[in-house]
Amino acid sequence: MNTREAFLSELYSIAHRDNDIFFIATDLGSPSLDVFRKNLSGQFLNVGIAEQNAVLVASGIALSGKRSYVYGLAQFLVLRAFEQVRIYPAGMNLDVTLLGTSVGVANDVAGPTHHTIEDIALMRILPNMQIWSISDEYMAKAFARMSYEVKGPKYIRFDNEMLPAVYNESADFTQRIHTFGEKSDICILSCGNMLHVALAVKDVLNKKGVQVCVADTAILPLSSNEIEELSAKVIFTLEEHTLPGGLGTHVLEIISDNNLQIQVRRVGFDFSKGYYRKNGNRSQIYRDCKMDAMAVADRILREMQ
Amino acid sequence: MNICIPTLKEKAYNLRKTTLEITASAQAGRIASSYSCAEILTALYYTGIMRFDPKDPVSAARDRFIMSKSHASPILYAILADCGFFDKSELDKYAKPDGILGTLLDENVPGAEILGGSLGCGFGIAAGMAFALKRERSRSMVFTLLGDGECGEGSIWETAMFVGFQRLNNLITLIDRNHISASAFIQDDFGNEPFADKWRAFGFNVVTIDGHSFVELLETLKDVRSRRSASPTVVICETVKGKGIDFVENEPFWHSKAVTQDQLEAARKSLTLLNRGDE
Repeated sequence: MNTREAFLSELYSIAHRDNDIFFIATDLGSPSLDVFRKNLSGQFLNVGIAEQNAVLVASGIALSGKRSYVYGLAQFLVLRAFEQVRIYPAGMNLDVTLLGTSVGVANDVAGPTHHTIEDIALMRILPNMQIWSISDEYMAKAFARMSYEVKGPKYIRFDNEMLPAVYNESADFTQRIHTFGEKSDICILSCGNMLHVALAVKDVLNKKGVQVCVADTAILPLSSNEIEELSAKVIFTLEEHTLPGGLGTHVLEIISDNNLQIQVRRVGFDFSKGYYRKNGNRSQIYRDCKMDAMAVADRILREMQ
Repeated sequence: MNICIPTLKEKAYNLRKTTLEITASAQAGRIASSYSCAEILTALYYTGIMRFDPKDPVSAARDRFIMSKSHASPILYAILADCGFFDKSELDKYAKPDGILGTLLDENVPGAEILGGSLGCGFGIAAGMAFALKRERSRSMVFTLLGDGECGEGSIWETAMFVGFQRLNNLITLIDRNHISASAFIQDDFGNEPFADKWRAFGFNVVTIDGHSFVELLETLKDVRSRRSASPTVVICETVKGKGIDFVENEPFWHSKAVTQDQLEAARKSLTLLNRGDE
């Protein structure tokens, strides 16, 4: 099941029971939203292509004792409305949840204006803000319930693709990090869609007799405990995000601030000379940027020699 | 409403005086932006037009006031202290580390509602509140004060389109139209004319008045609660930036300034009860 549909249908059931939940769309639909709009019209609002106003209205609604969800393309919620997010949901610690779709280069051929590659960097510097990256449908459903229970501002990242299930209903999704495989000297950290690339890397390496652990950093920010508990000597971060400011940088900061003896290698976009301008699809972009499973596995083998 | 206009004039005079003293003492805060809206805020807070309880500043039944142009916070502080939202001694600690009052608005100030200072934002917050109140069929109204310089922000027009389309007639938008932005006369440098037509085009019922005239302010605001029109109302209040101190009036230079100690005596002398011809 599409993770966005899984989340929205779960949220619809919750909103059905609690009419203090308001859903604010920015001219973006989805099949589950059609039901929401039809059956809960009093709680649904489409403000059009106006992300700044959407975040402000959502904040005004939250200040009226309600819970609001703002739904839109992640790139525009985070970048266009960044200052509004900074002051109100984050600065005033409001119950506003931002639902950002098409993270990373999910909108591949649309080009740089539609590539969400700075969102983790921007959202993680805000006070109170939590970043939740969805990597399968079970997590999506659980995050819908948690978004209702956990107070304060949240930014939830959705991919466009059908992500294969890697969890089940009994998983504890309140944990910030989930590991796959035995702990090992090498650990690959990633989240969302990239978790699935990381798992493919693990398969490639396992076949070559190299043991690696994969960790899904579902909830950011992480703490030093979570990094230490991985018991890794080398962490590879794998992210569909610019290298400056993203998951890798976050991990480096934790390691440096806490004087942990762990090496870090970052895999992500290096756009220091310009954005990706070819009309590549997502797999082409990964190959061009050396982020596909084979390239990452090769790099790990090279670095570990 | 049994309201005595001379009393309101005296109130506005006293609020200007407090604003002068606290900003001069701290050497911080925008006196000119505060003075242009003195009568507008006095009309809201001292006539019963806006309903609030200083002892219960977050009461669900309150009307909301969102100071979108929070650059004029010093005069709002003078009002909130005078109405009893917090102790008047806080005014002596304005813009000082041991006080709660900064030059721009902070939601922790009783009666302030929001963190302010970034122009173009308060209007959208007010719209969200009005939307939520309307959905729950609350009788509370939302009042917001914008600056005309602030209307250069694109987010103002996103919100205007939303308010017009949603017909948020429980939101009263007041614009302190003092014609001066941070650095210049608006119409000299970037322009906003035809200003009233813009609001009309966005679906607002537009009323333009003299923003220093209590007669006109009260006439316009007295029936906001009982109006039957579905359209939201915007009241464009024609004002003079710095109104009340002759050497501050209509001088773009004064936008971000407090009166210096050297100028304080002259400012006190200049400050007098404002009289309009019709009052």
